[in-house]
Amino acid sequence: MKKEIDNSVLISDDGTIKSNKKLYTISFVIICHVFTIILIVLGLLAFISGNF
Amino acid sequence: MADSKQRIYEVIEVSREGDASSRAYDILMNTTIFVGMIPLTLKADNLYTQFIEILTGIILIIDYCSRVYTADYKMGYKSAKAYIAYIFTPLAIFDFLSILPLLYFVFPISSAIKLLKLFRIFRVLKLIRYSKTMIVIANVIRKVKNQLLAVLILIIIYIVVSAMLIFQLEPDLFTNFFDALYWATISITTIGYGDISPCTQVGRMITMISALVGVAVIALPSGIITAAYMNEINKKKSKYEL
Repeated sequence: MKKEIDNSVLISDDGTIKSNKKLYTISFVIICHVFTIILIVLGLLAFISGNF
Repeated sequence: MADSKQRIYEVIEVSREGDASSRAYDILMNTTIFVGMIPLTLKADNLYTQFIEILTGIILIIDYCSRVYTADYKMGYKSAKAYIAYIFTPLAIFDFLSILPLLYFVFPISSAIKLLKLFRIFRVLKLIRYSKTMIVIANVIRKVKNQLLAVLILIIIYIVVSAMLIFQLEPDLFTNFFDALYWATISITTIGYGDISPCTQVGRMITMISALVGVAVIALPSGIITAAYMNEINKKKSKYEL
C-alpha cells in the first residue's frame, strides 16, 4: 500500500517544519472564487436593473 | 523573496495543468473582464455598475502591479531595463489603459475624464493572454505588421486625396473637410450610407472611381492576414506531424 506524500512537511537540519503552502493555496482559491461569484451576481443585477 | 516573486509570476500567468491557484486567478480575471464590460451595455450608470467599477478597478490595479513587479520573469532577464521594457509592451499598455476609467470616480465632474469610461473597451484585449487562438492571431499580425502598415498608409493617402478632390469639386455638399473625409471613407470601404451623395457629374465620376479602387484596396489587409494565418497553421501542422 502506497503511503500518501505530504508536501506540507519540509525537512531541515533542526527537524521537520510544517509548511502552510497548502493552506495558502486553498485560501487563495476560495478568495478568488468568492470574488468571481460576487462579480457575476453584481453583473447580472446591473444588467437586469439597467435594461429591464 | 525570489520564491514568492516566482510564485506570483506563476499564478498571474496563464495556468498550467495542476496549478489550482493560477486556474482560480485566470477564472477571476476572465470574469472581471466580462463583467467590466457590462456598464458599456447600459445607457446610464446605477448603483451596481458603480460597485462593479470599483471592484473590477481594484482587481485590475492589483493585476497590473503584480505584472510590473514580476516583469523581470516575463521579459526573461533580471535588470531595471526589464521593468521599463515591459511597461511599453502592447499588453502592458492595454492593462494600463483599462485602469484609467477608474479616474472618473476620482474626478467625476470633468467631462474630459468622462471619455475615459470608453477605455473600458481595452479590457477585452486582456483576453488575448487567455486565448490560444487570439495569441496565434496576434503573432500573425506581428509578423505582417510592415505590410499592413504599408497598406494602411496607402488607404489613408487615397482617402485624403479623394476627400480633397470632392471637397473642391462639390463645396456645397460638405460643411467642412471632415465631412469630405467621412464621405471618402464610406465610399472607399463600399459601405455607402447615402447620407452624403454627389450631385454633379464630375463628383459622381470620382465616387465611381473611389468605389472601384476601394474594392481592391480594402481587400488587401484581409488577404495579407489570411495568407499569414494559413502559413502559421501549416507550420504548426507540419511541426505536429514531425
